[in-house]
Amino acid sequence: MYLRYMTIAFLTNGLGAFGLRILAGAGLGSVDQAQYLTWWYAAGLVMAAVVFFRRNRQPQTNELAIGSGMALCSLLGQTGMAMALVSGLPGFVVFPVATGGGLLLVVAVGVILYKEPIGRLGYLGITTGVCALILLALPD
Amino acid sequence: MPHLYLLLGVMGFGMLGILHKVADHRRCRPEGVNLILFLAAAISMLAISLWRTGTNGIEVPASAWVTAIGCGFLASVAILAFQRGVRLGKISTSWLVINLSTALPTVLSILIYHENVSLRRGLGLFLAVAALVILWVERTREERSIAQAQ
Repeated sequence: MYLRYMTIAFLTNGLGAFGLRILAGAGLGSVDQAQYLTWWYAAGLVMAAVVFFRRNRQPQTNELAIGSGMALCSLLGQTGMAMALVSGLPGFVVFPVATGGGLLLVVAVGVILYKEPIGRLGYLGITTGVCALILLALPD
Repeated sequence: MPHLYLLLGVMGFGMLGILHKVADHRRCRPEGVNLILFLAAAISMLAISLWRTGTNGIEVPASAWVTAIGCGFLASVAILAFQRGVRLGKISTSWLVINLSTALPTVLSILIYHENVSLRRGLGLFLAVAALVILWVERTREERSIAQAQ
């Protein structure tokens, strides 16, 4: 079941991020990203609401706190990266560090705080994945 | 100062992943977390959009909002599936898988828009596939050993 969920998450997350490239391909690269993302999040909200209200009545307090925290972290991550670029750090530093650093932080918390057991193969996969992300994140 | 901004970026993205695991530990329902995440993000993004562009905050060409709606739906499915999946696996490797999904737009750009495959990009894609295969093998072995133990 885990592999099925992660396959769905992998494919839909990747396709969800492809929209900006579609816009660029359609000659709409000048569309403001905030405007585009407003529609993007609104559509996601409709989907989330349909799924939630089919079986539930209202969110719990912990869901309110953690869900809002996630949205805030996402915005802070994007803002931090954008501000680092605007204030003069080159893209070949910002993109790999933000992507790889965030991932390594999650791995560290998983291993140290949540005591997740990771074998040699797991560490090899993580190292290979971080290298892949850094290479893919580097600007052309 | 630029390095502090970068640190903010790293912490923001890292905390986003960690909160997925916290949600699991706090017994949050994936549907509830997904709803609040998109609600808070949509409100914030609308505010930013209105601030940046004035009253034309959400006016974009039809093809842009059709694309945004399609991709937004998919993103919501992605978070929901991830939230359900992370309950059954490790955040350390699950977060890597979701991050590696950035390779998919790269592959699609190459296939659909015939973008140039540089040596760096090619190597990055190769390593992304290798990492996914390694993690898949690791997970399959784990599931097998759990089944044998039971």
